[in-house]
Amino acid sequence: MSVNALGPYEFAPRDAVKNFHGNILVNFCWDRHVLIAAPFAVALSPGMTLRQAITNVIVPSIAFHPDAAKIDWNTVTWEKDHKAWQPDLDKSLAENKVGHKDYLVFITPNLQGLNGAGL
Amino acid sequence: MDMKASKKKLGIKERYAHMTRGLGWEPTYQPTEAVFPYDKYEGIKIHDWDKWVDPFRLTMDAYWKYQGEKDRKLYAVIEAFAQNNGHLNITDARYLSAIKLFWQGVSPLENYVVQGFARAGRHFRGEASRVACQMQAVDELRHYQTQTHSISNYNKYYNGFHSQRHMWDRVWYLSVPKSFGEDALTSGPFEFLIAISFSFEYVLTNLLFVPFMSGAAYNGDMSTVTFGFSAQSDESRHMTLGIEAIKFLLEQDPANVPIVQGWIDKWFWRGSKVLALVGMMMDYMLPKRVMSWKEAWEIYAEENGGALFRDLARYGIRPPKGWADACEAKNHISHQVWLLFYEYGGAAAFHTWSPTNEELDWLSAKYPETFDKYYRPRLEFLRDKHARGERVYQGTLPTLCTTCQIPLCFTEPGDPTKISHRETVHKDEKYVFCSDHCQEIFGNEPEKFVQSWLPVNQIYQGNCFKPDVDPTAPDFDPLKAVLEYFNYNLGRDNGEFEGSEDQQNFAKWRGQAVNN
Repeated sequence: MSVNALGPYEFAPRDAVKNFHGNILVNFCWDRHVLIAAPFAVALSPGMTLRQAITNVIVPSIAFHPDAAKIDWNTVTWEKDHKAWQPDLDKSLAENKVGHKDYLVFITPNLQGLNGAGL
Repeated sequence: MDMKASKKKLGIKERYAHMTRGLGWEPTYQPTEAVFPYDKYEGIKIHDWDKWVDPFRLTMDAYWKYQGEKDRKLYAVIEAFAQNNGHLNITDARYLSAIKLFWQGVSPLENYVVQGFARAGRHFRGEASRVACQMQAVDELRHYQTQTHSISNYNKYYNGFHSQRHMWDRVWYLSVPKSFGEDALTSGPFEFLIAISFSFEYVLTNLLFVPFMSGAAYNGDMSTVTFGFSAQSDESRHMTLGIEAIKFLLEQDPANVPIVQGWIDKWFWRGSKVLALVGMMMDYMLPKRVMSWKEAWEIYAEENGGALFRDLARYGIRPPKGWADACEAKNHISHQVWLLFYEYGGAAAFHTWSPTNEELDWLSAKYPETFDKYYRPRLEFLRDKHARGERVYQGTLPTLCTTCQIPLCFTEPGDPTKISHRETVHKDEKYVFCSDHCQEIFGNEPEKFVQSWLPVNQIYQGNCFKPDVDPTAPDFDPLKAVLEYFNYNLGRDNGEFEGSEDQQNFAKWRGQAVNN
């Protein structure tokens, strides 16, 4: 469907990648750890490796969670577009085909959150 | 010379006819379609505008008289409140955060509604509907003014009240009500009417005004109680206009039914998301609580709204699509939103804090199915960290929903530890949403929502710094620069309540009022 309007109604998307100064916006959600109140949106260089993104941005942002220090990033499983996804942490975001505004979920099945309740 | 006996005064019905329809005329030198260009394109068919009747039959002359009377009473109370240091009679300085939230996020919405009704009043071709819309526009302007005058007294003493107009266009969480208001304002006049008069004023307004005004009464804020009372009779008129408007549209043509249904689906959901802010206020920000958000939802949405939709079923209208999900969320959203603001408390222009044990027990009793399992452990964990000198302040920005603009803090219906997210690709561009319903709203009008001014994304685009800022400077702190762009007084407007200037000043001044 489309907007009901009297005249032509077409606008450029406000968050097109060209507005991000060479970066892409990537969303990261830690599955079943809702003590982290919301997923993160971060602007990253597509040439950065996924491991760099994790180390520089994600690890410090989740550090207050008691499970955070126990994460073995080499065994974390991932979802992208609601489907299982297997990135190579040491390849760049671009090589891993992480696109602008992608939503990545990282899953740590052995870590069950605060009280073991998914928090 | 004999005076001519004046004719008997007009009855209310005759006067209403003269003062509404009697004010209309047929244009002669322009076609009617050119004078009223906006009341056809939405697809709504109106065959007889004269069927619109305001049940109050209020005319402008009577309107001025009533409103003048109410204003005289209100301003006498506001004056007395200011002269007698009424602000020291509130229960606790934490209550101020509730008023800050109202002032920052609700009052400006009144101002938007002024614009919307002024426009609807201009563009409908039925005179009675135009008069009703004009009066509501003036009402809403009065509400904005009385709120300004009442709350300005707090601005003399406390932080966070100072830059309402500036913050409204910039601050991340205010983009939630702002985008709601702008979506309504940029709709056609009929959609605006269903969005604001029906979905908001009729179905949801009690969830906004009753909690805030009762909350004010419970917490000793006579100033807010009084503007609330002064607005109350206007609100009941607005609710009546809302129900009148929808029945009028549904009775005019069966083809209107699916269009109206679509708007109800959209605006009920959008309204329920905005009201998550009220839920947090009720459950966490009132030192003396009125009722839980869940109880308010059950009375005002489930019972009253349920009865309304049973009544509208005869027109072929069903409850809004998001109804079941919104009802399920009553057990969760107030906690989820409070925890979000607590963690992002460094970036909010009001204070957040950890509830006391007594308050946690109250929440456990009010939310027996969810609180102890999902929320109490989080609140206690954060409280313990704060006690150890490690107050949590999240500094990494959250993902926002493209439609409602709320960070993705809500969970899947029926699965309270799974953050809910949806994605749509439209013209090769990806968009993220918090729920099926926000995703569907986008899908119905993608051209509108591709323009969403999402604060987080704007920050990353470099659009939220003051002009003289140099992002290449070695000591550049982007988060601080953004908060300065919001016009926050850092360390005074934001952050933890314990130890805040508001807490200290209130304690000191109240101490002076009750001790030697």
